[in-house]
Amino acid sequence: MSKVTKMVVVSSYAPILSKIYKLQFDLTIKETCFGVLISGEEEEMKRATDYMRNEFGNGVFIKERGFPMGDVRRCRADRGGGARPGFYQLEREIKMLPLIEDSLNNLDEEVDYKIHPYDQDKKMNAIKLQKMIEGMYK
Amino acid sequence: MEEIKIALLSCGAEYSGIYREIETAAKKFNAKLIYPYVETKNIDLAVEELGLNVASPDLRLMAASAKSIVEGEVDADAVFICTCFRCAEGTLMRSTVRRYIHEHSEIPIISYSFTERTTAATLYTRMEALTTTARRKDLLARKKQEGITAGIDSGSTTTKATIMEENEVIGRGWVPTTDVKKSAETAFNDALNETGLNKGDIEALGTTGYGRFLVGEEMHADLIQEEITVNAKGGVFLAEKQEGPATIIDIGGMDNKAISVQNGIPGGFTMGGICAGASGRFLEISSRRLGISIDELGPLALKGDYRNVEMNSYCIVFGIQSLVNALATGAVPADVASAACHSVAEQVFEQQLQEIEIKEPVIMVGGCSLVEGIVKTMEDLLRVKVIVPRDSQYIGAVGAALLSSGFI
Amino acid sequence: MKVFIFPPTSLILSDLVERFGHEPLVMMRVIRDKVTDLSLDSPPLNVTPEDVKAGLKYAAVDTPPGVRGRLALIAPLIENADAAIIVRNADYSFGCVGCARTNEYLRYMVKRRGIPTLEVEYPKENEEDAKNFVYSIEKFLRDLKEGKKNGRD
Repeated sequence: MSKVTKMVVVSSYAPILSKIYKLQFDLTIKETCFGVLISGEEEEMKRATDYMRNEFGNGVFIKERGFPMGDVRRCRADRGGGARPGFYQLEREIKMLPLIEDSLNNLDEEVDYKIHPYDQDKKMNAIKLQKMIEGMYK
Repeated sequence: MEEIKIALLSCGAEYSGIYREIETAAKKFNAKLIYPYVETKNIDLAVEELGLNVASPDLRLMAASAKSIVEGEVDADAVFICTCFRCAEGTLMRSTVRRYIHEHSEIPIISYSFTERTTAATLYTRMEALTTTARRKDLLARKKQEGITAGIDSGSTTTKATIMEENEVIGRGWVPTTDVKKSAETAFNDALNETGLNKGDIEALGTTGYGRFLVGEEMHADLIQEEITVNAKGGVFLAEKQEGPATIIDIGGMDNKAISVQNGIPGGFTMGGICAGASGRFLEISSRRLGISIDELGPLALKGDYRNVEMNSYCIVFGIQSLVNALATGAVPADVASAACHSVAEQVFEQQLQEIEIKEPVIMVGGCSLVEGIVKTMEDLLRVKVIVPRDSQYIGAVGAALLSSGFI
Repeated sequence: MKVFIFPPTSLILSDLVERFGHEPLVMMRVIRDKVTDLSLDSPPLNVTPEDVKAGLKYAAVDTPPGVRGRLALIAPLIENADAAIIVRNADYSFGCVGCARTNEYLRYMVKRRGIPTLEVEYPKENEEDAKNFVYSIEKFLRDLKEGKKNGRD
């Protein structure tokens, strides 16, 4: 079993740190501005992430992290102030989390929700455009 | 040597396997690579301000980093901009960012396009020049030579030496480079002989060029300095253009350099060292094929028209083959000489001069500046009058003698 | 099923794929293997010139090295994927997904593999967009689980 690091992001305030401390997982835990970083053996990590998903439901978002915690190669202080490349996307996604959380909460209730396809042609229909132009000269 | 901070603006170095090479080159000159602090919301604003709306996020981030540097939000002493070789978008953004920083700050910059084969060694001279410009502004501020000093430029093809006294070149030596140390000594002695002075009369010595370390250590030089800094100083000194902007073009025996100078201090520069077709070597071989000396090539080229000779390549092998073919099918030697000069000048123009800001006066130095055909072609390509100062071939030696007088 | 996500570093996609019972194929795993490999010393990511050469499997030598190096890291994820979810407007993806040309090619590689693919867009700041985003992904992943051949509607 190898050691992995995961990033646990909370979409709104959740007492995540105190709860996982209380359960005494065999993990290294570090609080960050967006949640926590946890690191440990894969099996123990799974136990912890399963627990967090159960406990905090749609309010936590979890992903793996490539670099170990506190790795100097990704440390902002060592890089002269600039963030690691992944930071900007993470920051953007974190802003979306409250809306994503709400959608997940509504998922079970809205069984009849009609999904709008993304590959819909957004260009205006030519006939509609023609009618609009004709309308201008009436 | 105090540590200096170089802001690395790159979109692919970490993914091209060459980041360590850049870092190694920086460390050799006690420089640390840093990444400017950028706020996410400022990325699009910076792209808007620079005006080049590229698609690649990393290039957009590069724009924001540049803005952060010119606004003083990052403690950077110098900037190294690099993008992948053969990427159109990267090249366009690289020169946009370089121009933006150049116009909005006085921070020295170099830009470079890398392949996965780029090694630390290829970056050494560039890093040395960049760190020197950032670190030794006091040295570069020198405008006048004082006392009796000497400079030796140990080049790949020729070794040049000069003796200077009270702001004048009084002795010159010029020999082909064979054994680096011996050639330096011969050139130095030739220069001394012209003045009637002895070695003991020399108050300070500076070395530059490929063999600068070897010669500098052997002769206990006071200053051992790469040729970008030295040639920038030497160029504006000889042309008497020490104030304001200037551009130095130096086509040497084996490589070429173009330096954008402001008040005698290099702001941006580029070095070509990959292709012998953009060097004096191409002209030497062309002269040999024409059965003339290199001194005769320039005047002959002025009488010819390069358009009468079909050149298929800038390459020193295939380009020369084109010249030979032209001679075999009855081409006029003057046209062939003109085509040889055009080939070298055009390659430097296409591959190097696009990387820096060309600001007048344009000063040509180095061995090739004596070949009139090259100078004329460069004038035609740049559409400006090119200045070739006296002693232009001794540029490195003059710059080294000038700068070393700071050690008296 | 193994699901390639784009951006392969996305927190939201990685989480949703796992949440709905599949395995996200992510960049972080690739980077983890690289940066913890003590036999390599090519900081910060341990991408070596050898990786860039390995990228020749996907693109010719006159493709910039940064494209080939990125492809060498990311393309194997596509090769191992059973399905893919792609965010089209991932404009703030830097680093391994910071090159637009590479990203275009990755999307092409997904298309060429012919695996079930869902293309979505990050929601703008409104509820309706977010719902559409989440519900599309949930349905796509549910269909995959239920063995429906094409993940599309």
